[in-house]
Amino acid sequence: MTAGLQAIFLSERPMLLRLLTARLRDPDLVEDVLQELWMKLDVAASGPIADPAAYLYRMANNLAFDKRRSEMRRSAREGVWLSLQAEDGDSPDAERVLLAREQLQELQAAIAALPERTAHIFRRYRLEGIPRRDIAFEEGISVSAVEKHLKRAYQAVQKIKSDLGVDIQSM
Amino acid sequence: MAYSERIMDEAIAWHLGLGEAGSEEWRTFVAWLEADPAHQDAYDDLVMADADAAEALASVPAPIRRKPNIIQATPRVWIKRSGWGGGMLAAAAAAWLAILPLATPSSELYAVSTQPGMQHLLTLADGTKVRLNGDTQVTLDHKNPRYASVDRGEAMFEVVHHADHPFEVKVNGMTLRDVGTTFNVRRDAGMFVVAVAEGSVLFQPDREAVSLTPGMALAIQDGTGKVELRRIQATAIGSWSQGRLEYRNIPLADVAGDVARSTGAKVRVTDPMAHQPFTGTLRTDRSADEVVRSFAQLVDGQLRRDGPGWVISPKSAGAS
Repeated sequence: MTAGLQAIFLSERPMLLRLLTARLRDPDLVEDVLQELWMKLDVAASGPIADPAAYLYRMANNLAFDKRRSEMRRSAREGVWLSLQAEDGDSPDAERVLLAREQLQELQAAIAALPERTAHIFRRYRLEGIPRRDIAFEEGISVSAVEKHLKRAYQAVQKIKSDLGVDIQSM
Repeated sequence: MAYSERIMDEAIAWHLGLGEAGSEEWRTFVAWLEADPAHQDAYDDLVMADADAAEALASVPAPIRRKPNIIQATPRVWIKRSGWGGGMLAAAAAAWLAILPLATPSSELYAVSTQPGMQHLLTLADGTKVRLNGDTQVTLDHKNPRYASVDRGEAMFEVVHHADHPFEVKVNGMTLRDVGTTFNVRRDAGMFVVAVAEGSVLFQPDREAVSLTPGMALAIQDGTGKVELRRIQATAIGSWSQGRLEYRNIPLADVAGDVARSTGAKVRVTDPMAHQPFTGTLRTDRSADEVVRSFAQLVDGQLRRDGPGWVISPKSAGAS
């Protein structure tokens, strides 16, 4: 199975490279992530995978997310240090500090400002990991109606991010 | 880093869709990212916002939510007429849940129905839960919360037991009385089947008084009243409410009926194959098309479109 996944990796490599380039925009980082992905194939899922290429794309996209996330944290941490001369980055509370308080509060406010049902559905989906189908069932609405609520919630949180994005970049 | 709301919405649609995406969709996603640096910014902002929002959610307790009474909160109330007129039909297609008041002097009956592919959870005044599968209608009574009738489709009952006031379910003029129970009732063309997952149910308590225990299913033919007892796996009962359909030696025609009810996709299995027994599990927590495709694959049948629906036929029939 693993050998099969490696063969798929090789045939999909150009497309994986394009995905990672679009996500990371740094050729060195892209090569690192491709290498990391290749190493992970040895310990990847042992059971049969329905669509191995999709599985590889998902892995690559997740790795790109991890890289971007730690990059953002680093720049946020530097920003926090500058403004607060704050706590030791290795303390257990570091994660809290990393997400600038202001932004956390803005996000909380944005979520609280959503219609009650939208906020509830977003929490069930994003925090509690309940599948959309199950949420639809609980709420007595269709899956596409659940998706509409999620879309509205994402619009609200993304607005905050895109507004703040400029600030973070300037730090 | 400015991008339009349209791009933002596209990024959201991709983000919500990628969890289930196949390789072709991933390639389309890559092309979308490459098409415009603004797409890359929007998607990057979104996944970062998504992670931050999860932290924001985790750092505040869930607000207490006043759970509305589903029946009263649902604004779509239809008065039942002799038939569905054209306008009513269009209205019914827009609403997935219809509630029909059927008042009589002694009782205050009302019907709750779902469209194919939908499920609905009702919590009655006594705490009893009734889960409706798709294409299902039950009749309830405002004046008697210990009564339900299954008029069509399939429903799973989780009954709160009261020794001196048993819960009764009517199906096709016959009575099921709970003895503290979770059970599933299915109303198919020409028969109904009751299957007990927990506790026990008395079938026709004032006549035959057959006691059904977990893992037992009773099938009754409509016209002849012929009764058949089956053994089934208790854990598989009502699995449709968890997004699974589980079978052991069930004719493919019946499985296709369940798929239609659970997903809304019309599927037919052609004749020699329709009687073939099926053992296995179908996941239904995904799109109707995907469920139908994996069903066809599992039974090694050939799938083709048939108007708005699907037909599954033996593979050899297609080869010359």
